[in-house]
Amino acid sequence: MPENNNPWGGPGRKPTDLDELIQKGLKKLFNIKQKKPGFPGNGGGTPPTPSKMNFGYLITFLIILFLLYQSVYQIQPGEQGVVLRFGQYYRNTPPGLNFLIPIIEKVVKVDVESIRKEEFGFRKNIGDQFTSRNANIDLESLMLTADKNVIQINWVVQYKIRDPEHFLFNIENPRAAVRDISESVLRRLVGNRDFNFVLDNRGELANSTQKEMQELLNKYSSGLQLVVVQLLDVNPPDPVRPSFNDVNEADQDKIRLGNEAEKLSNEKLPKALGQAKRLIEEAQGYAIERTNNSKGDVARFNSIYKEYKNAKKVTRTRMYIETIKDVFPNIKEIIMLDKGKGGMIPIINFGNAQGLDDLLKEDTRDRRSQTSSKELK
Amino acid sequence: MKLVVFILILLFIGYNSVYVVNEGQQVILTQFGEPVGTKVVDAGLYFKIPMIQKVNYFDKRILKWDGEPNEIPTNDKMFIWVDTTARWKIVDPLLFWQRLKTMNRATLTMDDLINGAVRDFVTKNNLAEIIRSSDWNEAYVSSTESATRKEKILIGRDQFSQLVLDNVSKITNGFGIEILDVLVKRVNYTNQVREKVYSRMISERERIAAQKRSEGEAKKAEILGEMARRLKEIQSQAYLEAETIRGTADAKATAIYGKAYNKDPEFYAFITTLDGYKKIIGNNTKLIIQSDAPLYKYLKDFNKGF
Repeated sequence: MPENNNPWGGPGRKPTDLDELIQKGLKKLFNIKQKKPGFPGNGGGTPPTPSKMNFGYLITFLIILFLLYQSVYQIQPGEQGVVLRFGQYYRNTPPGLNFLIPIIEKVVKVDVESIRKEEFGFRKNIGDQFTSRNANIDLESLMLTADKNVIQINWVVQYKIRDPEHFLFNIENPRAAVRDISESVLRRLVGNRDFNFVLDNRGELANSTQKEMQELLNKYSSGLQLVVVQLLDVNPPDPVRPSFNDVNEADQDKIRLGNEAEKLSNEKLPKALGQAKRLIEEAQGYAIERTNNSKGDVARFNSIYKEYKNAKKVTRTRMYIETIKDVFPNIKEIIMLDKGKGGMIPIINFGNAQGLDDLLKEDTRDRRSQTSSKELK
Repeated sequence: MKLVVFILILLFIGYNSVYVVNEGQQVILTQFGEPVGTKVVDAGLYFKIPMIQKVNYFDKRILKWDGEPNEIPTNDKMFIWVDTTARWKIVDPLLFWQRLKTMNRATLTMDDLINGAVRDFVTKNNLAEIIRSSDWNEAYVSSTESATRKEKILIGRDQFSQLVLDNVSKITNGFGIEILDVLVKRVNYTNQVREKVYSRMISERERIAAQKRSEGEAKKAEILGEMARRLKEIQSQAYLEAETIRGTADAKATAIYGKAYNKDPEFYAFITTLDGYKKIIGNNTKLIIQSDAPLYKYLKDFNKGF
């Protein structure tokens, strides 16, 4: 975590180390002092006993070990070490095992690979230091649009450290800076756009926000690089949302009504076209029938007429009688009216068709042999 | 023993005569409370007179000022919450030390100055000036909604920030502070105003929804009307064509009949009458014949013949 590497927790750490060093130095001195009273009567040149020699070496050895331990440090993959000499920036060190001069140099490890995330308008992680501001979370996501409406936006800013030196020493609490800048930039841009424009152009808004935020972060030399600004929810505020949904429904209704009408139209028009075709086809059928019939009728007439011309009177009579012969079997009763008297003439009741048939047979025979007919008369 | 004490004193003095300035720090030395020398802004190891001079550390980084939200009425009498934030740094630690002494006092001073300037600006301007910025343009307008979009922006939020910054800077420069920018973090309606804005938004939506539904009905009516017209068109067109075809055929037939039957109209009438009988007289018909009908004549003749 970057907070662990945060150098602002201890600007006074260097003096503390010096204190330790001095204390150790004093201890060493006292040890030497304690040795001296150990050989009062033996004269200055007498060497110390081996056990006391060993004790002195042990101390020296421990101090050297401690300093060696202090001079080696490890940078994890994805981290960079920032080495300070007397508090002054000296160099960056890559991942791996590195060395420094103990006491004089210090190293601060900065995670430059992980992507940090700031959430606005919602909190995913309970226990986050911002959760205590729950009451303000709603206010965080509400903003005014250019047409003086209120819109609710939840968004996420992802960033990483591009320059550890700048990140560490140029700006107080870079995380807070990211939050402030993000809120201010997004609100400024939303304030320029109409409500519907914001709803329809999320991508453009996110891109513009990222661009403007990065410019500000660069201006502060924050050492931060934005990875992405993502707008998650862009919505009308809760109390207004039902009416927005209603507009969407109205849109659907509009389309539905159109479709319903189109459906009806599609049902009826092709059928009507078919019926129209049928009507015309039928008329054409009629036309052909009529023409052919007339031609047929005329052909028949012409044929009959040709023969008729040769024997007009007889043919007429024959035809007449033939017709009556055809017709009479079907007649049940014949009533005759005398024109002169105006009343009914006694009826010839054929009674049954048989009688008439006989009569007609008689007649046929009659016509076939004129002679026999004359004999009857 | 004396040597030890001497060494101890030497060490203490040595330790007291050096100091370290870390990155992100700057230092003013004071001698009995009086500042001496110039500010030390570069990190590193420095010397001072031990015991007598004291090291005063100041932050060199960009610092954050965060104001409390203020409820302010705009010129057009809208009550809004304005929440501002600023980035600042100590550029002259000596001045800063002389005038403000502590960070806490610096923050309080900035509270007064920035909040005051913001309040001045907001009360003198319309809401639109605070919402929109000077780079606002017509491209951000979407088709619907209020007439407010025609309002021209004279200043805008970004210029407003700049104005506040300029105003405040005039004073804070004398405190050894440089304010880098003043950002309007949040502008929100107060609860009461927000309720009203919500009602307006809802009524706007209702208006749009009603319009859309009405448009839908209109579309439907239009389509159905067109359909009715097309139906009549199709049906009458078909009728026209059919009757024309029939008529033409009838005319043709009439011509054919006329030409043939004209040879002997009387004979035609005769055979047609005969055909007529065949067709007219069905089963079990009662036939009523007048005594002067041709048929009667034949029937009478038959009787005579018997």
